[in-house]
Amino acid sequence: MIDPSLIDVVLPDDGYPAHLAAEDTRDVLWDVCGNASREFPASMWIEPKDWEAKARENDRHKAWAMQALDRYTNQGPSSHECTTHSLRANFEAARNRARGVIFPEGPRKDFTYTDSGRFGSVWLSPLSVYAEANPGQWGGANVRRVLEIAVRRGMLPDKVQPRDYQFKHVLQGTSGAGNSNQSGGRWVSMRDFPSGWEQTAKLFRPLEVVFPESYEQAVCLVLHGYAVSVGRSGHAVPWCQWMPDQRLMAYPDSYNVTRYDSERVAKSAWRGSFSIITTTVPDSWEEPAA
Amino acid sequence: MRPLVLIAAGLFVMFGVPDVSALRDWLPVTVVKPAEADAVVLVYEKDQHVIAPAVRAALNTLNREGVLATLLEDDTTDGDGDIPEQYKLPLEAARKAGLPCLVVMAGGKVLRVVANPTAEQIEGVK
Repeated sequence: MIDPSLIDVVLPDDGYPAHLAAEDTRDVLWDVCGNASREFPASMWIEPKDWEAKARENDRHKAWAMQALDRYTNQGPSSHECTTHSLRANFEAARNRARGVIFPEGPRKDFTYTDSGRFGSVWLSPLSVYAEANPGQWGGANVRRVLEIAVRRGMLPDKVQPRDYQFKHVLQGTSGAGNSNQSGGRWVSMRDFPSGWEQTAKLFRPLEVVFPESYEQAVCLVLHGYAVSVGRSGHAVPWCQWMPDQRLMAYPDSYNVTRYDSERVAKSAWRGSFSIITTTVPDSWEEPAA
Repeated sequence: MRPLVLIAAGLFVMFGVPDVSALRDWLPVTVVKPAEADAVVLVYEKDQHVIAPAVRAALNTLNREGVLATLLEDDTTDGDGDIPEQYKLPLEAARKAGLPCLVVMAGGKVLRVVANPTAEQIEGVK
């Protein structure tokens, strides 16, 4: 049984205010992603009556997007970066999925998997997108803006990585506190990005992004092991697991903790959501910086 | 040399050809083993193929046994928009065979291609 205090949590003033959320319609997201925009694949449809069986199968094989993730991020105490933290989880889940690796327990607080370095997991910097999405630092950014930036020019790696990949350009992960798997640091504007940063950022771009047209499609994507990023109640999060017993959506929140959306909240939150299906991959998994 | 050959031929006629199989135990022998897979890639097209959880778990198992086991969506590129170098050969083999398929590699060469592989077939690569 899930601790009720972790369900339908509303955070005050977190970076996804209503006036920004209002701009995140499916049509707008489709337009800003250009060639990366994809319809929901018909092959991924699962009848609702079959959801529970599919969820049990995922449990058995640890095949959720949650188990493609090897870390939490921490934007706290309040950096207004939530849409970019949700974006990085969505991206990293898709990339680790392509790598073929499963982190059996998903993100764990104050814990680094030794397998993260062994299997080439790269930790990306939400701040590297947020700095462009909102040069004013405070007030948040909508999905339209952060997704357009990520598709166009990519994300920079965090200064902290599970292994020394010899990246030429890195940035602090957040202007919040960070954690042992994410560097925290001062706010940085784009003019202070490391010279030539575009050469590294382009290595980490979403290539194919699906925009669900219904709550049911969003659930299907999660059931197929993809993350679905949504915004609701002023906060953006990546749904990474569906729990049939309580019909909850679990997400690694950008505060070092896993939280849950009830079905009631989830049904009100899927509009303006997205799922990254494929990302750029390196010429060699051993050398992600090349 | 000629007298020795004649003597040997004479002995074979008298006593038959000797059994030399026992020599294998003490003569140096070179065993040629088939190449072992060091990488596999499951190539698919997301609009047509769904990757089963058991298949993903099988790839994870192979990775942990030291075989580079990855998934490749047909449209994937590197940061420059090109086919990633590591996937050029396997992608060519996969497209020729038809998707989805598992391309088994050793030393940078394609060993074989398995059409629409099951989890058991993937785990059996090792």
